[in-house]
Amino acid sequence: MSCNLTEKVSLLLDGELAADEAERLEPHVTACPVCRTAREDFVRLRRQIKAYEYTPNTEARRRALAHILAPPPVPLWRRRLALPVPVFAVIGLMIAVAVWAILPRRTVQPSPAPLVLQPNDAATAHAAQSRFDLSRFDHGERAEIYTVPRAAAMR
Amino acid sequence: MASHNEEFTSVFDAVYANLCRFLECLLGERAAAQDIAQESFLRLHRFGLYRLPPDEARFWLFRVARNLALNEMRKQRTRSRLSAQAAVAFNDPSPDPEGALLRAESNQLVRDLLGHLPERQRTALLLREQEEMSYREIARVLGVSEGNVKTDIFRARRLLRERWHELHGAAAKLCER
Repeated sequence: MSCNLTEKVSLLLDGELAADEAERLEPHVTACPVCRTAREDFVRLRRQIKAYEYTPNTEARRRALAHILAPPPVPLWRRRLALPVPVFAVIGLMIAVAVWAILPRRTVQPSPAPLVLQPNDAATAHAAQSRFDLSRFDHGERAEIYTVPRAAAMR
Repeated sequence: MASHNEEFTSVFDAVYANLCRFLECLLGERAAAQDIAQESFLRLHRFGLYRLPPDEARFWLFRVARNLALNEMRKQRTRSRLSAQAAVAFNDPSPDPEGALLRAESNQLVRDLLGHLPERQRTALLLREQEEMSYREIARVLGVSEGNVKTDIFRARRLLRERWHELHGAAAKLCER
C-alpha cells in the first residue's frame, strides 16, 4: 500500500509547507492509514535521532579551547631573543676573541738590503755607471737645428 | 583582542557539543569527531569571527566540519566499531554504568541506522533532526538547492523507516522463538 502524498507528510512534519497547504493536508493524514503510519514512523525516528546523547568530555573541551586560543607558533627566523646585557657582553667578547684568533695576522717581512757600491769593485762600478751613460745613443750623427719664426710656429 | 576571544568563546560554548554530536553521528567515531570539531573551530579563529555576518558562524562551522569529515571518510581511517563503543562508554562521566551502557547501545543503534544512508542524506537529516535547521539553512550548509534538501530528507526518512522495520521485525522473530 502506498500513497503519493507521503513526501508531503515529511514536509508537513518539518513545517516546510505553506499554511493553506498544511491545512488541506492535515485531514488527509488523519484519514489515510499510509500517511498516518508514515507520520508516526517519522516522528519515532526523529525522537530516536534526537535522543542521541553526547556528553562532551570537559577536559577535552577545555584543552581544545586552549589549543585554539593559543597564539600561533612563531617561525624560528622571526623569534626574538631577550637576554640580560652582561650575557650579551660576554657573547660579544667571545665573538671578538674568536674572530681575532681566526683571522690571518700580517707578519713584517725584512726589507731587502740597499745596493751599496763598493769603490774597489771596478766591474760593478762600471756596470752601474753604464746604466746612466747616454753615449750609447750617440751614433755620430749631427743634429740639425731648424729655425722657425715664432709667428709660423704659433699658427 | 580580549573581546574577540570572549566572543569566540561564547560561540564555542554554544556550538561545540552539537558539532561533536553531529560529527560523531556522521563518522561513527568519537575521537575523529572531536579532532574535526577542534580543527573547524581553529579555522574559524584564524579566519576571524568578526569577518562573518552575525549568526553565520554556526552554519560556517557545520559547512567546514562537514567538508573535513568528507576528507576523513575518503581517507578511510575509521577504526573498529568496538573501540568506538568502548570509547563512548569510557568517556561518559556518568556514575551510572548501566545507564551509560544503555545510552551507548541507543547511540549505536542510531549510528547503525544512519550508517546505511548516503552521506548527503545523512548530513541533511542530522542537520534537520538534531540541529533543527530549516531546509534553506541546510541548503546553505550543503551548498545545494532547497529542492535537493527536500528530496534528500524524504529519501533518508524512507530508507531509515524500512531499515527500522527490518530490525524490529528481526527482533520480534527472535522473541517469538
